Amino acid sequence: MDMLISVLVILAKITCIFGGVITLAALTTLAERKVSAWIQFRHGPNRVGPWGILQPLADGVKFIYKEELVPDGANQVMFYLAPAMVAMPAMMGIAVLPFAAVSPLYQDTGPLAIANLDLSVLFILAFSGLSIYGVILGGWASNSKFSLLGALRASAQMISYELALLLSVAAILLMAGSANLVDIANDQQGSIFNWYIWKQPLAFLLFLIATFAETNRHPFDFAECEPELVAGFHTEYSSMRFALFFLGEYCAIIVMCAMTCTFFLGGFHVPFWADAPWFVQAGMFLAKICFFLFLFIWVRWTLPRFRFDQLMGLGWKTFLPLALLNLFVTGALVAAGVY
Amino acid sequence: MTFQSTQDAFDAAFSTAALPAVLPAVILSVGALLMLLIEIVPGARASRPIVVLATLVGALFANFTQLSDPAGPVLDGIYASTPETAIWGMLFAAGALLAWVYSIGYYGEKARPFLAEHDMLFLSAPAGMTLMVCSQDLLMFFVGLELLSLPLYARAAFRRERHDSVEAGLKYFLLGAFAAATYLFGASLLYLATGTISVMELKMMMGDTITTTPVFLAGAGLLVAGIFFKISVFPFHMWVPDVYEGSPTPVTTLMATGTKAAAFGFLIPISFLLPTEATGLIAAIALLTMAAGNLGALVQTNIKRMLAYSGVAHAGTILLVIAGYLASGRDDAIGEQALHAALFYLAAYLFTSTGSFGLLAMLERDGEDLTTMRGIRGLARRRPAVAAAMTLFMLSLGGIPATGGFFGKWFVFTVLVQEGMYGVAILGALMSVVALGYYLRVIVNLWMEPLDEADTGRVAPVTLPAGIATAVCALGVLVLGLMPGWFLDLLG
Amino acid sequence: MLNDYLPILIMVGAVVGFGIVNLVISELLGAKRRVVGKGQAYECGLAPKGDSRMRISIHFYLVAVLFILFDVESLLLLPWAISAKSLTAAGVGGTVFAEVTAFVVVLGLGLAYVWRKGGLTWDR
Repeated sequence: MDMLISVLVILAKITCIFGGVITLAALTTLAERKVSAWIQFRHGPNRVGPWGILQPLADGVKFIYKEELVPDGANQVMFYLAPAMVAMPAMMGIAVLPFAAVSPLYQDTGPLAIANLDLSVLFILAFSGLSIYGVILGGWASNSKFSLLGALRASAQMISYELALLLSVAAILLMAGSANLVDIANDQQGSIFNWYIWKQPLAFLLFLIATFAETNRHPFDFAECEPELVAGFHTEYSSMRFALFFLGEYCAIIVMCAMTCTFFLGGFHVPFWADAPWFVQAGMFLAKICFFLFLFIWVRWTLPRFRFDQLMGLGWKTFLPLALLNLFVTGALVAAGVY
Repeated sequence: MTFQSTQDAFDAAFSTAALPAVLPAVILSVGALLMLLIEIVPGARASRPIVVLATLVGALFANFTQLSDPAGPVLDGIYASTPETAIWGMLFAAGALLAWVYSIGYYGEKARPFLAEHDMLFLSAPAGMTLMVCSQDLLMFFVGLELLSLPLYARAAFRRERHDSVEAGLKYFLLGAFAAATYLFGASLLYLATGTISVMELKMMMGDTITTTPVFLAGAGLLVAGIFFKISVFPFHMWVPDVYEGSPTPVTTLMATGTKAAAFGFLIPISFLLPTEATGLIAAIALLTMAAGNLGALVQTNIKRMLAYSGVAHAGTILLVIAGYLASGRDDAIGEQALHAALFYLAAYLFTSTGSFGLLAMLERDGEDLTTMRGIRGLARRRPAVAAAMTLFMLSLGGIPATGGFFGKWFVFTVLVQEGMYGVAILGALMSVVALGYYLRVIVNLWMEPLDEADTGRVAPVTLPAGIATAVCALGVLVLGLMPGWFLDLLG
Repeated sequence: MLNDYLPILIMVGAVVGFGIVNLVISELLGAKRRVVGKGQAYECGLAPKGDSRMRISIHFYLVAVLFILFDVESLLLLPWAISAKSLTAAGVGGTVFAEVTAFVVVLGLGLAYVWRKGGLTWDR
């Protein structure tokens, strides 16, 4: 009976959190267009539902009924599986995101997260790293030159920035003494000055910029760099497969934003209100995530695109040494007992 | 091992007792890294020889101090320093030093910018070899093996403008990777069967029923097969001639001597993993290896290739001691005797082989055609000293008395005869007689044939370092041949 | 321990299910109108030239190899990062940090080597 209840609780959490994040991802596709339009003094989509709010739904239906194109000479199996291989690892990251300190559900102790792992940070990093396989396979299997180049660029860029990402995360782990997202968030509760962003400003900058590169977003969107590569690794994709690539990408962005919030902005904790009820905490967390989502779109229309060699140079010659230095200094401070 | 507190774990990890034991490997590793750093510090290139000499001499000395006062097992029993490992370590450092000396001036202009990376091999390889023989742990050995092999793969293809060199590198890499996978698979099966990868714990388990399970036997077999690749035992010897021939000769020198010695240095102590029933199999493999090596060598016209095949034959000879050890019912005293026999054999082989490959490297500089049977005709008339040294090395490889090679074979066959394996011993001795055929051919060509009519009289002066190195090798061969007792006394 | 990972297992099921359903649903419901030329790879409207299974720049391999090296070495720092605070509390933080310093210095020197050898320069 206990087993049944705990499975039901897990299912309920998966339905709410996983479903919620997918919905958020769908809404982000709308926000992308709305915010873009707003920045460019346009209206954006406004026909489907009030303010175009149902646009993602209409898009979904359209994707389902579109023809699935497979280019001649494509590697069928790889081509078929690649979109899911991008989307699935990105969605797995959702499993460990904590939305509140205490779960409101029946017989559920611990935080409001699908799973509360001791190594949740590594869990997310591990799964986000897996997305590269889908990108590479999809690009290669398409048998199209644009796809191949896009996939190569995407993979080179993702792995290059993963180093800076990992090393700046290590500095956070040093501060918190734990690799559990909940512990990291709990360490920053209370005053707004407990946020790690004040103690780790360099790690924050490195991490934030690295997430842009990791998710292939502007100004580092060489994977799909329209003027050069048409659409990069998903040039040859259509219908729901194309949509899965996008869904995966937006899920990855949301997970990355959630990590940024948890690492540097106190996660689900409400400033100056340590024991806020769960729905306030979850709302706070969502608000913080939405701010970063907005930032992603904002940056897209503000900064020009880099050049590929600049991107690689920045990652290896600036970010990696800086992140290493930051980790080293943080380690020294921890060893000296300052932090 | 479990620890009571953080402090305990900490004390164990930072105990300085292990330092003297690991010092040789540490010196060599630091030297290898320093060599890479030289490359990136402007103007530091000139200090290349100093780093090589200081590191290798330092390692020699660090090993020497272990000889009289070995530290025994350290670091939670994954590493052990014994008189045997100290001698192995000294041999490795000396072999690397000699091979490096022969590499001075060997390469052309094109290789100049990469010489620091090249020299780094001569420091990381002995580091890997030292780890291999000192390891008391299946994974530790693997670390040493890779530390040795990875630079070797790259250096085999060092003359990248040449097809045969690139082929050698690729072939060596692919087969080496295969061997490493075989070894690791074997090690994981052993772990599956016994729950340990510690050599000492495995040894204590021998005799348990666990060690007769198929998983254990398969693991032991694969593990040993992986090492067989490295020591080029039949049927895993096919890569040897091509790789040895294509690699730059100084690199071949290291490959032929050090790799083989280090692999044997680990293989013999862990051969207790093999069941005693495998005696016949090992003896058969050893004899087949000798046959394959000798028959292959007989028909070669290129001396480098011939030496490659001869190396295969020598590996077969040394492998016989394992058969002897297994025949004794895995008796520890015989095991030690087998190890000492192999140690002596490989010490003699190291000097002999280094000397002969080194002379080839010198001859190659005058023109590559000079390293063929035809090319060395009448060499004694032009370069009597070189010819004399080459003759000595050939005699030692052939196992003629008064050279180190003779006593190496003597000790190996002693082990067999003690165990009553007369048939195997006689067959092995016969193989050695076959081997004399091609060694003597070299000597005949050197001394009794007239100069080749196509000879243009190319004579590059013997450089001082190469001369010294050759003299040291010759001295080593003679000392081992005339005073074998002195070497055995070192082992106590 | 295993209970912690039960939700992960169910989540894997949910995510894989989501992926498969999406792939299958549009396979079933999507239009199927194959005509000549539809399967051509997109090359801006021109007929595709040659195969795209081509040799690619060695730089990508180099980046991948360097990534493996540095990633593994950075990962080795994570256990220390997680336990540094408790080590400091146990009074051995300084010595462990000295050890980490040695490791980071080697890592940094490795980076310097690659940098200086031109391994990080994209267009040579």
